[in-house]
Parts: sequence; structure tokens; C-alpha cells
Amino acid sequence: MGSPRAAGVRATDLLLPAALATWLVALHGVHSPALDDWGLLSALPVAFYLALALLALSTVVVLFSPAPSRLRLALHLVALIVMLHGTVPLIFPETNFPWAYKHMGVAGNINLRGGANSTIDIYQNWPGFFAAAAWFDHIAGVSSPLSYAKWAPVYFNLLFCLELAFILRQLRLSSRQRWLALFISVGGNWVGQDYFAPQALALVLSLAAYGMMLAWFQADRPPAVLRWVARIGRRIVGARADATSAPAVVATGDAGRLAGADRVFGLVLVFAVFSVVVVTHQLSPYLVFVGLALAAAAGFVRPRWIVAGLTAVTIAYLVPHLAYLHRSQNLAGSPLNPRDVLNALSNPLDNLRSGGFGGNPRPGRAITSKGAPLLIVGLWALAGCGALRRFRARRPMLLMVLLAGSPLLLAFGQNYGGEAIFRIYLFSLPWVSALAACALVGDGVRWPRVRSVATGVVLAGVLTLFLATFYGSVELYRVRPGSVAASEYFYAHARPGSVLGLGAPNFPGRVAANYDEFQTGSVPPTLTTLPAFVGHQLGPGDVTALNAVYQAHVAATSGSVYLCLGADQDEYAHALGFFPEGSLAHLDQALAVSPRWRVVYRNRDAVIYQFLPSGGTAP
Amino acid sequence: MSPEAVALRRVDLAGALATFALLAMVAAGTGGLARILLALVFVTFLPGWALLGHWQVVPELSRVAIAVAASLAASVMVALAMAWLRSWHPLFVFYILGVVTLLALGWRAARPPRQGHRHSPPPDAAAPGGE
Repeated sequence: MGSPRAAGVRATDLLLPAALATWLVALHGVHSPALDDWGLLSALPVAFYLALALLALSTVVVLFSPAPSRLRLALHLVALIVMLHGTVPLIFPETNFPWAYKHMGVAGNINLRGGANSTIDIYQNWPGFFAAAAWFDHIAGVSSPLSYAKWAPVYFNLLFCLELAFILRQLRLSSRQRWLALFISVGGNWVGQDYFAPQALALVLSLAAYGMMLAWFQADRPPAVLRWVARIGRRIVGARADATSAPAVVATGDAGRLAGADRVFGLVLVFAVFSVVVVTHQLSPYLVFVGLALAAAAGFVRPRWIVAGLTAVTIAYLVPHLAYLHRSQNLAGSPLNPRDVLNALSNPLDNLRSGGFGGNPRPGRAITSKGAPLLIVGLWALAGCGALRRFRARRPMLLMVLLAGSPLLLAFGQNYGGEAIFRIYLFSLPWVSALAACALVGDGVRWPRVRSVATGVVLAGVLTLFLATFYGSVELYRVRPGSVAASEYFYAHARPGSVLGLGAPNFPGRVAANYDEFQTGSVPPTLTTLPAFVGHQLGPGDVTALNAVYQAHVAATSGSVYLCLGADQDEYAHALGFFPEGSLAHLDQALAVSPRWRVVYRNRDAVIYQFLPSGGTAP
Repeated sequence: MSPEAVALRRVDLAGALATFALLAMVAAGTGGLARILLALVFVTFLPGWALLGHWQVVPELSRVAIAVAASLAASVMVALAMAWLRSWHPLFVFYILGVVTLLALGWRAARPPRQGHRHSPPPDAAAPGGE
């Protein structure tokens, strides 16, 4: 994407090694730091932020050098990914997303049972990622993904960038615009969909599917009606028509349209990769085919039957699984029922609402949580400027605008447990990043100093908001080794059919391969969801109410009823304002002397109590 | 031999060596970080590269992206086939895929290079910086 080989060494080349060295020095000695409501932000030394600033400065210097070196830019991009996503796994011993552990359990279950069982849960109905992870464990010689899962964000972000670079080559962007789009997308990807999860793999493959479609099946010219509309629009906004402007034709991409056996092979690849997306993640294929359908309808992708074929693959997989989705209440209504479809179409704003964490967040958490909306609005605004700028300069932009906007159609589907807005942002990010880069770097070479300063400011802003959003919420996702050990203990020692209640939801549950033996009981609600427990310091006075809650679940549970409390849960509940600091530790002390509770496991991070029901002794 | 052909041959050779090393480690039951990393490279890249590495309608960098997608897709398909058929023989299937990959990469690294390149360079390839 630039000069193929690096020029000689320059003084500014010292910036990158200096940034990396500063980063390593900054992280030296930072191990499992104590976290407050500012997350990791307050726990990292100033040198960490200095390292990121040096890297951003170096990136801008290389990007705006007369002939940007591809090698240097690639090294900067890798360094950015490693610094942003490698910091957490370097300083914490365990994988830091509680919900990643249930994914490990599913992979382990496939290994244990020798196959996928679609009656167990939704994961085993879309088992692509889990089956691959189970297979990988055998090849890698590990007993579970625990040994490598914490590095998944680094791995997946590297792959995102590779596939995004492939896409960007198909969009008739300058080399600087493409590289800048990559940096913006890395900084803008705060969504946390890159951990050990099916959606991370699905995103990599979705980007590849987009790239292949645009490389091989992109029309040479948009349809006449679009060109006519564009001409009218340009007159309205007063577009310049200087000699340097290129005609508004669509790029033909890497290789142009395929023919003969190559075309057949290309089609096989597109369908194969897309089919894997379909069996890997419930939502991703819809986001891909909605984008491609819009592109095809607008005449950017030909032939249109390919998109129809991809749609058929998606529906063919969905239909046999609809019954399960209804049974497990994973689907609000049926896509085959006109009334349900109308309901879904009538509440797009509801579907865009994020579930959030609830509670009454403490000041640090309240401030850092503003980072995400600021980043979303900021990048979309910048992308809007980029689209307008390209439109006025008679450069192709409609395809990018369509694809950036297409994920919004998901809002007419369903809320997806409050996650729809995140998927919409994630799937719009590649195109938004490309358009945002166009706002900062044009096709000409005018005002390079102004552009480099503006780019530096934007990069610094994006990284600052990323840190606020991602690092500022680490206390909500942290998992201590003791919590993992407690979870493993429960699945290894509890009677099948037993259930485990929690003080707060951030517990690495279902980590074990035999989690399917613990699916039938009635799980007591998490204490953060019960108004009777929220908002005050927990202690002996809450034990009676807790007994009543747990007693209600005994009859419907064939095994025993357990409660797990721990430091992670205490930290989470405090940061979000559910309980005062140390509430769960106080509750632990109260339960320790209660005759209705018996400690079955304790380590420095977590404790598991068995509830002893009234009218008999638990087994 | 063109610089591109030399680079392709080096990638093929390195891929063949990595596949061989992984096959040997799996057969010997050796564990550790090296095996995890080799397994990651294999699952992420090598079968796809063995299939597409020399598909000349696509430029090199894009070929890497497509090879990664093809490798990951192949890994998921293979694993899913075992999981759905409830015929879970992960190492046996790995040996088959590994040997096929090794043979493809090794054969390509050993054979004389083919001349010619069928794709056109991307629009900005001749303009460093692209502007």
C-alpha cells in the first residue's frame, strides 16, 4: 500500500522503538494491580501513556513522510495492536472477560462428549467456533483454551486488520487513506468483541467475505440512476470539478472480475467462507448479507444472484433452529409471523438501546462510560465529513456510505440482549474508518502540515476515548485466578443438577467441559438484580432474606443450591454502585456463621457456600 | 527467478517446515509454547496458503488475507464435520490435513518456478503514498 520497500533509516525511526521500550518499562512491575472505578486507567504509570503518545506521533510522522514505507506503517500498526490489546494479558494472569469462560466450557464439552449437542444451549446450535477451538486444543496439546484465550484480542485484532486491509484495497482509496483507516479502526474498536468468542472469528471471516465480493464481483460502474442522482447532488452542494478529480466510477479492485475456472473457484471461496460465518455466529451473517444486498440493489455488486444465494444459505441454517430459539426464548417473535415482524419493524429505537450494566455508577465509571458514545458519534461525524468531501471531489463514496449505514437495518430486527447497537457499530466501523480517513487525508497533497496535525489530533482523541472506554472498564471484566479455580471446583465436585448463584454476574461460570450436567436446576437470581439487597452495606441483616430467596429454588433443583461470592464480584458491584465497597465480603462473614450455609470451597479470591435448606440436610 | 517467486518459494518452504515440525511434535506428544504457536500458524494460515498461495489472479497481500480466511474456514468445517457426525477423531483428521498441506507446500517449494503473473497491479501501485 505504499512504497514496497523501506527507505534508509531516519531519525524519526527511533520513535517506534522508543515507544515500545517505554511501554515495556511502564508495564514492568505492574502485575494484577488493584482497580478502582477508573479501571486500569489509574493503575497504569504515566510512562504507559507516554509510550502511546510516542507511537501516535511516530505513526503520523511516517504516514505523512513523502513516500510512506509499507513496512514501517505495518510495524506501527502491529505495535499499536500489541500495546492496546497486549497490555491486559501481560499484567493479569487470567483471561479477563468472564463470559469468555463459558465459551471455553462449550469447546471442552465438544471434546468431552465427542460432538455437538444442539439440545444443550444456543452455542451448540451455532458450534463452528467451539468445534474449531476444541480441535485446536488437540493440535496445540493443551487441555483447555485457558492457556491461550487471554491473547485472543491480540490475535483477532491482527486478523481484523489483515482482512480490512484487503477490503480497503477494493475501495479506490489512496495508500495514506487506507493506512489511516486501519489505525482509526484499531483505535475505534473498543467494543470488546475480540475476545475468545464466536463473534470475533465471525467478524474476521465476514470481513474476508466482504473483501472477496468487492474484489471479484464489484461492478465497473454504478447504475445510471445513481450517477444521475450524484450529478444532481453535486450541483446542490456545489462540488468542485477540477482537473484532478477522477470520474465517479467504482474501483475494479485487486483483480477485476473473475472469469472461467477462476470465477467458479472465487464463488466457491465466497460461499464457503460465508457458510462458516453462518454456522459460527447467530447475528453476523445477517449484517454481512444486508450490506451486500444493499450494495447489490444499488448496482455495486454483480451478479445479484450471489447475494440471493448467500441469503438462502443463511435462511436454510436458521429455519431448522427456529424451534430451539423460541424454546430458549432467544428470539423475540418469529420472522415467519407477520405480526411479529411488524412489531420488530415498529421499534427500531428500542432495539438500539443497550442493556448497560444498571446500578448507580461511581464517578470514575460514570465518566469513562461517556467514552463509548463520544467515540461512536465522533467517528460517525468524521465519516460524514469524509463522505461529503469525497462527494464534492467526485470520488467514489456511495458504496462506503451504504455499507457503513447498512448495519443500522439490524435495528429493525431485534435488540439481541442489548448488544445490537454494539454489533451495528462494529460492522460499520470498517467503512466508517475509511470515510473518516478520507476526511483527514484527501487525494491531493495540499496543506500536508495542517493535515498531519489534524490527523495527530484525531488519532490522539480516538486513542484517548479507546482507553477511557476499554481500559476504564477493566474492573468490570476482571477475573482473578481464584474465581476460575472456584468455578472449576464447583463443576468438579458438585452433584449433577446443582446450581450456583452469584453476588454479581461477572463470574467465570460454565468453565468446565461437563457444564451440561448443571443445566436443569433453578438458578437463584444474582444479588445485584434484587432490589432488597441493592443500595446498602450487606451483612447479617440480609441473611434471612437471602435464605428465603435460595429456599425458593431448592424444590426445582435436583442437586444442591450454592452461592459464590468473591473479590471480582465485590469490585464490580461497587464500581457500578450496586453495593458499598466490601459488601460481599461482609456478607461472606455473615454467612460463615449462619447455620443455613456451609463453606465448601474457599481461596483468597472467592468462596462457595452450599445452602442448607430448611426441613432437611442437603446432600 | 523473480523476487516475487523467490518470496513465494520461501513462504512455501517455511510453511512446509512449520507443518512438518508440528506433525512431529504432535506425533511425539511434545507440549509447550512452540507447539501452541505452530498450531496457531497452521490453523490460521497454512492449509489456505497451500491451496491459494499461487493463485495468481490475486496480488500477494490480498492472497495472504484470502489464505487466512480459507484456512480458518477449512478448520471450522473440518471440526464441525467431526462434531456433527459425532465422529470425533481430532488428531487423525489433523494428520490427514497436515500431511496434505505438507505435500502441497513441499511440492511447490521443490518444483521449478512458473513465469508470468496474471493480475494487474492495483490502481495506485505505481504511486508511492498513493497520492
